[in-house]
Amino acid sequence: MPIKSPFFPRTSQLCTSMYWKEWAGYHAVSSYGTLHDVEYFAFRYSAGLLDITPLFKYKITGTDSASFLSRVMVRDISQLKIGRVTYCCWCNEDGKVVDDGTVMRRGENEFFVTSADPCFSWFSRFTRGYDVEVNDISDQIAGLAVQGPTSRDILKKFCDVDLDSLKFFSTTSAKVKDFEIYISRTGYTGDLGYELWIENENALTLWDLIMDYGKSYDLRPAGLAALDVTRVEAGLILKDVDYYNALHTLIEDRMSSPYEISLGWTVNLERDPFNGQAALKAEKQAGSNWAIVGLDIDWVEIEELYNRHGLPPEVGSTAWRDSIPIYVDSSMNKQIGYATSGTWSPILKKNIALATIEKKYDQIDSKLQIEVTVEHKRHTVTATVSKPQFYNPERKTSNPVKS
Amino acid sequence: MNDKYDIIVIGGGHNGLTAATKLAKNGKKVAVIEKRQALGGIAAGEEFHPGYKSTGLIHDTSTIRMSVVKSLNLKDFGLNIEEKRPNTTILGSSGECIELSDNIEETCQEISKYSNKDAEAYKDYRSFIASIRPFVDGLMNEMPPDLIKLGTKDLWTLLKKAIGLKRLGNKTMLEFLKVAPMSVADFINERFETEFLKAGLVAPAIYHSYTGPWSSYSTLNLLLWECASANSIIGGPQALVTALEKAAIAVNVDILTNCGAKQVLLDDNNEVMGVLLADDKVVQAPIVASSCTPLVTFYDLLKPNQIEYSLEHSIKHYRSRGTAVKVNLALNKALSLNGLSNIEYARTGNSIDEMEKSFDFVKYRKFSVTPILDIHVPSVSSPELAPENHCVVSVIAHFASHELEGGWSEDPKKVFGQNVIQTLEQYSPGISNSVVGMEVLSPQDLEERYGLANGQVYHGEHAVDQILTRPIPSCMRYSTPISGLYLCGSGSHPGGGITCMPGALGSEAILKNR
Repeated sequence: MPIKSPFFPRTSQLCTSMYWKEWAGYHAVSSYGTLHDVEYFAFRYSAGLLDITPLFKYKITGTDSASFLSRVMVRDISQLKIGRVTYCCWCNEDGKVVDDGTVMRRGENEFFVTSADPCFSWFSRFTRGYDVEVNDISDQIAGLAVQGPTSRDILKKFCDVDLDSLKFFSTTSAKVKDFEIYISRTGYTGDLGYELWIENENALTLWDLIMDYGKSYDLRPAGLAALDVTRVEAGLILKDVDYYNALHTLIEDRMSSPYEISLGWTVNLERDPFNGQAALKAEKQAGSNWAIVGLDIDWVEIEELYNRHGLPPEVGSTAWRDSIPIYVDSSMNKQIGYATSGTWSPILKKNIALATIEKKYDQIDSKLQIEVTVEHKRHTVTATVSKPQFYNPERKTSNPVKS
Repeated sequence: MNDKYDIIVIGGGHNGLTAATKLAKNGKKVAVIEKRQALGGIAAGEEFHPGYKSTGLIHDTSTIRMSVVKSLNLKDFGLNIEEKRPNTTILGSSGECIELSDNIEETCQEISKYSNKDAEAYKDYRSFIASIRPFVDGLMNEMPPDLIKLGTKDLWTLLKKAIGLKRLGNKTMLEFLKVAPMSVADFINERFETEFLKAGLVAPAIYHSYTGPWSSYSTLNLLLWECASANSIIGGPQALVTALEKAAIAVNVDILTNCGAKQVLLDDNNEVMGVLLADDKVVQAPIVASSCTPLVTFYDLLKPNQIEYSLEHSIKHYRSRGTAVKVNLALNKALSLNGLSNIEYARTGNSIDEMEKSFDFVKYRKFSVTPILDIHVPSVSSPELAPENHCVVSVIAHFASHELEGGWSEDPKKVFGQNVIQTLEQYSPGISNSVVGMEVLSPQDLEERYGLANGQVYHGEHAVDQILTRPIPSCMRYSTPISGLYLCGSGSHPGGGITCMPGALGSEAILKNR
């Protein structure tokens, strides 16, 4: 029986479509209405409110928490300043990714970590010799994402902190009414946005506040279907879709290193030993086998294909996550990778995808072929290689200029 | 002391000294660093009561390998070895005595006082041991083959082992394969009928192991010991240490005592670059050979992030539970056991089932009320260890849990010491009145004094898995996943006891790899 998030009394009232998904054991709204597009446009043009309680959450405390996290994570967490957040992944000793998430430094010796998979047991493996305590606070803390251009203005209405100064990937505590919340300027939409962390008992009060103040800013509750479109546009990978947890795969081929899933930039290689360091150093030297790239799928060719069958072009309204073969050329003789997720991007008016391809084919602007099935027949159309990040508005990272 | 060496050996016990000397003989510049003031580790003699000295933590020098003695010319450095195992008396609780000696005929005569059948069985037993000895010695005195690379040489080694097994002859081969995995109780019960004799025979199989006579595979422990036990060092373990020290100095090994290692230092590539000493001095060396226990080597001498989880996990689950307490007694007169004086080595046990019951206590974090005693009276052959006409009795008493319920404070040590004396009273009535000094070393004391993890004297239990891939598969050929770090202590093949073999084979591995 799936778990109900603390926001369930509200979300269940609002979810008139009855479109629910299972997310980490929770009931999670896929889309509140029968179509998700309104929610998508809220993310991009006003603000969307998303229940992110199902994320796993850990509080790491103790005088060695920074060095402990530096040992576990591929990133040197000891360099993270108080009040800052970082995104990174963590690896097994073979340098294969176990999970990814954010690490927030709330104090000299206090960190908050989010993850997609349960990681308590994994983190606890590495505590020997460290003065550190790993606390799984997943079911004590609720999470809400407020994402979109008007998100800052909404939160400013009822938070006592200077959000105009809160930088991208920074975090702060804030007082709301008579309780405290944590706000981090993070999110999974690739837009201006915040994630709010709150004790369960105050969760509904916070929801109601946001909904009330959000009305005049066109805030809407949004579900995972809309989120999925935004995260593909932003080029943000998803565990179990674009890569697999190395602890859960049955075969080695399904494991990935950070370099192979576009997270090489999160790796700080030259420092004290951390999990996977030796393997990652070796891979850095020898080169990786795979790369995640963005693909811009040629719309005119798709139109032509459908036209041949006397059909108008069809494209799913929601993001997809099937594995689609990628070829070197239209003969389909040589497969060099596979797309893992994709979507029609309403804001870019492009048909885009994230794909894992052999590293040697990852040059930007090079042309590959992606399989398209029309009228039960397999064809290919041209897909142009790009960075995974298709959409990156300036407001995501900027702060208002003070007058 | 220099600040740069080819190799630093951590620990100046018999294995550390053996490794260092072998390496130096091969032209390496070697330093041995020893935390304690005295060299020798568990082989070092100690004054435990004013005027009374022991000859080392463990008594048994019979498993010393002559190949090491010869290759290090230890006889030239004053080592006096009799190439026969010492006489050992098995004591029964009703005054019975059987003296086991190297002479099988004499021993059989002794046994026939109690049972003719057992005397015959003993003859067969000894001839079985003699026939498997070449094969077992071959296993224990060579480096384990590299089962991962499995090169031509390794295949050849395996083939030789297989041929060696076959050459035992079909009857012996099949018997060996049948009995090795058995419990030692089953094995001995199949052959003998006299209870106290059976107890005395199985005893070496359970010493220092988390094993009762009814534990499976315990026969293997017995066979390994029986095949190895063939010598006797005059003067006990301390005499070995004295000779090893001289041999080491003769080849210019720098021996540094009162010099603990705080940390093995690794460079940016996680390769050994030296040792940080307890006084924060750094000594450089590209190779470090640790004769410490695997747990100390990987947990205490390296930072937690320097070992991968899989290694940490294997080491964590390497079973290393101390089960014995050492009791040193100073007596104001000679010891007589079951009416006999001048006994140097003796064993008690009374019956296999009593031993098993004694073992039961450790499972529940307690200690035995009537412990099994491994008795050594070193002052019989070395009267200088005690004042004139007095004597030193060294007892290794099983079983006592290393994680005693309530902890090893002074009170339980006193109680256990009394249990030992009460047990001795059965064999030596009135002994309690002649005790003038007594030292009880709990597993916790052994850990503190000698760095033995959990007081495990063998640096890890002898159990079939921990014998075949000792200590763990990734370290079974003395090298470790840390480049430049080697093991050369009892935690490596062929295991604990005074053999000097882990030190010798560990140094061979270093010489081969570099």
